[in-house]
Amino acid sequence: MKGLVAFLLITAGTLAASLAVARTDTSVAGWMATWQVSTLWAVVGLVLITAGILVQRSGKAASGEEARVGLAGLDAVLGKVVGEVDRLGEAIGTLELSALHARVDEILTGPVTDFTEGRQALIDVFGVGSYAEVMGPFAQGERYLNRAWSASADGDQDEAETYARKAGPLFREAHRKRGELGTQGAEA
Amino acid sequence: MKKQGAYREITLPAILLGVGLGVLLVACFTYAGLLIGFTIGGSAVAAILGFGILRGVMKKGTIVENNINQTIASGINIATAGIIFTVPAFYLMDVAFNPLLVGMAAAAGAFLGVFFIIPIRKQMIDLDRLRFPTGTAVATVLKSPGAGVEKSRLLLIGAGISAVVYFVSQFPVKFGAESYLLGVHTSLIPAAIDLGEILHLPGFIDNVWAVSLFSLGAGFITGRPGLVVLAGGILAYWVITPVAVSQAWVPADLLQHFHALTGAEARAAGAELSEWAHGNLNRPIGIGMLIGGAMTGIALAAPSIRAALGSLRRIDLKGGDAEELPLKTLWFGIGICLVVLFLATYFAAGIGPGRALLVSVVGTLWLGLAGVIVAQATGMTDWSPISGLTLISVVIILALTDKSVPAALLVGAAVCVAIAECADMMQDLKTGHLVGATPLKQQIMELSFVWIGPFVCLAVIAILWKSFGFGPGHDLSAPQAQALQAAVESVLGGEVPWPKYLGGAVIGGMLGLTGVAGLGVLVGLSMYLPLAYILPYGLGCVVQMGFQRAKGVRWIEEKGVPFAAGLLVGEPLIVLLQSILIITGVILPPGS
Repeated sequence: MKGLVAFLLITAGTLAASLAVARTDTSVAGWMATWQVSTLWAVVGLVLITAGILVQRSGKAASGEEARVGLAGLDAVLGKVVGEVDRLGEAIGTLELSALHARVDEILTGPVTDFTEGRQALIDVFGVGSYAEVMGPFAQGERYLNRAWSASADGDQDEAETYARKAGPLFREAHRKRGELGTQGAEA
Repeated sequence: MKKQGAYREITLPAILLGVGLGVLLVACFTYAGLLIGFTIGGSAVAAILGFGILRGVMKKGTIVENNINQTIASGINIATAGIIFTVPAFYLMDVAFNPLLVGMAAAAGAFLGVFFIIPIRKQMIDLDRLRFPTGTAVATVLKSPGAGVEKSRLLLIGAGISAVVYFVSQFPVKFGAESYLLGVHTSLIPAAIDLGEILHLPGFIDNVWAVSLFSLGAGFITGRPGLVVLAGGILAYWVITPVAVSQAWVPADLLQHFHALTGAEARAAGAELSEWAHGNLNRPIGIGMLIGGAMTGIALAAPSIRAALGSLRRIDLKGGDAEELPLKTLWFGIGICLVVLFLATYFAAGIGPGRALLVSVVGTLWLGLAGVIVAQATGMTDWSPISGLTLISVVIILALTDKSVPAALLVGAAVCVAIAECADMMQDLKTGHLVGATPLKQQIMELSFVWIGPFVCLAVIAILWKSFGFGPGHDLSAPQAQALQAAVESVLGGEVPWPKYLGGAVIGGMLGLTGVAGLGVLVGLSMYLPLAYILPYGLGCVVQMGFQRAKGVRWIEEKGVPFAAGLLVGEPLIVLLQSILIITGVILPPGS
């Protein structure tokens, strides 16, 4: 409900302020007569946008519990990524190239995608800075897995195995950083 | 199969192919840009041709090697977007200039664009996870060998449909008799459908839908975040413009002309009103919103950007593990380019050294900010407001130099090339992330060859001017440069819509605080773009949302994205073919 109210306030405010700005034309006859009206509408518009932002933020604070529930699910996914990549690392040397390619593809299209799709929960609970601490190494690990995928598609087993191995420590780093954040969430 | 030797990434064939394709694309798209007013990025074309040559003919190209090819080719080609907007204005306005100095300035701009955007890679790609639809589509093309038959088939089907539709709608050959669609006269596949005419709406309520599968595909890949673009377009074209007309905020002569006519003539007059409102109301407000929204976004992302700069500071190239260019290299490069830009401005524009230095510094700072804005907009939507932001730089330079047109156009060319390179580099780095390329290698390759594009483009423009001429009354009308000329002449006449720029900036800045990523940028962008392309783009977003709800995220990634990627790559291939056939005289330009 708060989300809808915020949306309506921000939309109405943007409309009012944009129309007011569109009206500010010194070449139109009677400009002085419209200057005050334009300013009034612009102020009304900005006030509405501000109100919408405040309503939205109060809604986000109230849905903190919701965000923490989402975070629990995200933590499970991150754990799964680490587990899958570790198991892949252990199996390297015994896997055929096509099997390696299939495993990497499963990890990328499965838990890695699930984590990136659900990352907003991290931002909502811990803020942008802490999110970056976790996502930085995660994204680098993802890129290494992508390279392993490409190399295995191109038939280069050495390169594929090397980068599949290199991805593991990065995902573990992301997991460790997440652990350091704890469960309390960032102070507002 | 186990291959011996290092995994092929930077190779001589990839470099030669990239440079060759880049030069070919510059030549073709310079011509196309002067003819029809827009250019294509070239990444998709280079990726497809590279696939055919490196993998098909040479039988040994790898995915990351082809990525290097398309990085080089698109980096060279994208300079076209910057040059054709600005340099033809020298000719149109009969302003004397030294092509070598303009080339130097533009090349400096190209380098600066790459240097400025590198520190933002982590923020936009790793953290914000911006979609970069073309970058994603190109990655899908590059990965097709290993993606399985199904994904490759979907990619080819999408590309085929897009290519055929564009071919039929754009080539000046009628396929069968002209037909009537719901009472509206059209050819077999029209280039656009005027829904406003079909629904008998007043002419000033723009409701033209471009038959652009490129836009549809880009919207599909973007998904839900792209709906904001549609909302902004609706605000501009279906709210502000009709209110402005109904309240007589438009020139009295245009309004009287509209009211005096009926039927098709009234529709045409209504379209003129819409065009006036777009150029004088929505566009400056939209540009202001873009800037305000971007500045708020940068401020909010400051902690992450600081962290990214910190990690760049710690990079040591000698260690061998470096994945990006270190910060000190970037600063050094920016310093050198600033000196080159200063020298080009000083010797070319006939202004004193103090003014030349001021203009160079301000131009460099502006292109850094504008480059980030354009990269963000491209990442969110695939659209880039290059011309609008270049226009601002021209206005600023005119103000700083007491209205020196040579200085404004020269620095404008540098800025325009720079911000085009920013967008292209980010698209390429997104592709690189998805295929596992090393960012450092892409950055080095881009910097090694990016200077070629401006000089080739300048040479082509000079040849076309001598052989055919361009501008009003010519086949090569150079519409973008004409728009810049009109803007410069307005500024020289004292007409700069500052209240709209500033008002838009305040609104955009406020929208940036809503927590919806890039809201101010997206709404501003959509007020600035033609509605004809926003509508199919928005439709693509809605279609993606519908399929995601029905079939799930996995289906979108496995089936939807490959098909949409094909839609994105089909059109550019036909534009390239069309340009080659027109240049060689096989066919006539459209409208002839």
